[in-house]
Amino acid sequence: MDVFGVIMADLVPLYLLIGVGYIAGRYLDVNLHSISRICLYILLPPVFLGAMTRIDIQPSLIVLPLITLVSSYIITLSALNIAKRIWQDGTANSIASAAVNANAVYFGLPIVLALFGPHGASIYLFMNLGGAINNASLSYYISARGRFTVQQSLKRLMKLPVLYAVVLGLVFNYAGITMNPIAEKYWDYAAGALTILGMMMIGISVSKLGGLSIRWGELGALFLIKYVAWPVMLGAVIFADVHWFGLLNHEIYALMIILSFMPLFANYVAYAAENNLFPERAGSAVLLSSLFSTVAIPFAYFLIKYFGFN
Amino acid sequence: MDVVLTLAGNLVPLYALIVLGYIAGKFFNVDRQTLGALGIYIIMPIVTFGYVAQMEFRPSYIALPVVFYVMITCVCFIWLAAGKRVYGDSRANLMAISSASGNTGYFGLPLALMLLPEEWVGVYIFANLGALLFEATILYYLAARGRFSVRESLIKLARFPTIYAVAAGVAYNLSGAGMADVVVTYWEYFKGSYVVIGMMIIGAALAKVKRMVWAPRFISLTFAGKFIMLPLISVGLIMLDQSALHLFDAQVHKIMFILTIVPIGANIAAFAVEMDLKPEKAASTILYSTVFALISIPFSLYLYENFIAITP
Repeated sequence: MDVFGVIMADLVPLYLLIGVGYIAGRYLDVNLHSISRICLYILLPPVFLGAMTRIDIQPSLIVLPLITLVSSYIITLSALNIAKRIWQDGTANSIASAAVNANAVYFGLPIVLALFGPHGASIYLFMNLGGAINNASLSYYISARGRFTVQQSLKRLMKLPVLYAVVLGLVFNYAGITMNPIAEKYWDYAAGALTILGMMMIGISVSKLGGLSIRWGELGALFLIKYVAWPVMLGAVIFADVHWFGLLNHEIYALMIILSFMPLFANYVAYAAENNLFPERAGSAVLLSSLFSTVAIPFAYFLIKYFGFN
Repeated sequence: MDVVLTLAGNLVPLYALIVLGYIAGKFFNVDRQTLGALGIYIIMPIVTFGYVAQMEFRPSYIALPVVFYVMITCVCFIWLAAGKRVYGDSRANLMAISSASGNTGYFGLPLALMLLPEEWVGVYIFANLGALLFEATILYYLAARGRFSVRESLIKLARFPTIYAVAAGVAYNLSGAGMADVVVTYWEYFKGSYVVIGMMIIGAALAKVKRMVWAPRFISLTFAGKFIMLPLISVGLIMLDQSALHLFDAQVHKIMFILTIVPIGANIAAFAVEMDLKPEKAASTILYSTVFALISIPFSLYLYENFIAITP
């Protein structure tokens, strides 16, 4: 039970930060775009770069971003095809663009840091690369509904600073360059700022909407993708590895389980607003799925314990 | 010289953040108002509260903001008098307030974090209340060109969220309640945000300087007040305490010194606009002083550690 206390204690501040973000957006006229740019262009690259210098490179680790990349492709494209048969008004695009990945960095980083320490967090971030790549390309492409060509979306992907940070970090790692104490300290600062601003972004985005709006069918589909499709997908990967491949280890299984239960990403609201894809509904869904994490994250930890991966 | 270089090296990440803020403001269209609002109303109060709540509070510390306030007020009026002789116009006012007010918050706090043991940072924040008092009284007095009222000054003072954060921190501190681990963890995240956002605010503000003005006489006079006279006054007081009064710790001496070696405060640019006092000249001088501090801070600290500080 002790670790559930730890998880809950770590979740409560995250919700408070959503609330602070809401207040900031509503009363302090804080601009969402500015915050998301700071996160994307200034904070994420050094956090990823530093994390990459920390992991011990094994060839088997390279498959991690591939797993998340391929998984998010499969889930997103299936979601798009199925949802298109039910909704004809763009809801399908909205759902599929949300299915690409989760709020795994802003929401997940503090939890993973608390439970697995800096080394686990580094592997976790590396694993997230696949999701980040699809978020900048596939999710964007789908939510733009044909307004952008594949080429334009790929060009956008090439502008993703995290990609370069990861490559550079791996080069440093290979060359044996590690962070000195000063760099470690600033890495902590940047990771802290990322958590604070990343969580506040959910509240800020909700504060800019006209109100909340829920469509149960759509919400059900999103939750099905997030809390059934993703866990089953990564669960299947773990199952396959345990029984046949044996490439990964217990720590990685545990991180995958945590990853698969992360809530919807706030970016989804930004894309929805940008492309006129029902931003109120997107905001409500992100908020509800963040709240649902009080159940989902402890459940993920229960699974980790149950299978003895910790 | 090695020590100076090491210190300068430690400052490099802070300057890198200023540059990033500059780039963000200039090219990524990051809104300065957004950063400022987050800094003043959310991040700074939380960081302040945490440090003050955790510091070892002593009643004698109440003297620190007063001493700091008197110090910068003296510099301000001496330089105002000198400036009036040299210029005889409102440039004297700008020179006086630029010399006296330092960037003790966004720049000074990360510096204090770097130089002080964690438990002393609260004392730094507490002493820095003197700067808020200065801003609400003398700066405002000079900005309003003599139309000064105690009531409006108090209203100005009451608008600083930091005042409430310090008050709450002191109350919490005296109540003796500890802080839970998870609270400390998130408070640390806010500390990280403070360093990152605070430095970027400096950079983003500098990015708004439209035209650089190079005024050698004005700059050298201002720098003489800012980087020579103010630190010397603080060194004088420190030596007085070391040799005769024995009121404060060596760490408190260092805190008073750090407060006086930071570059010109960014708020001076806003005041210059308000006072109709050559805003471009003000903004350029702030920029020069921030760059100059990269050299002057390690150098000042080197001199301080080797000739002033008495290690117990």
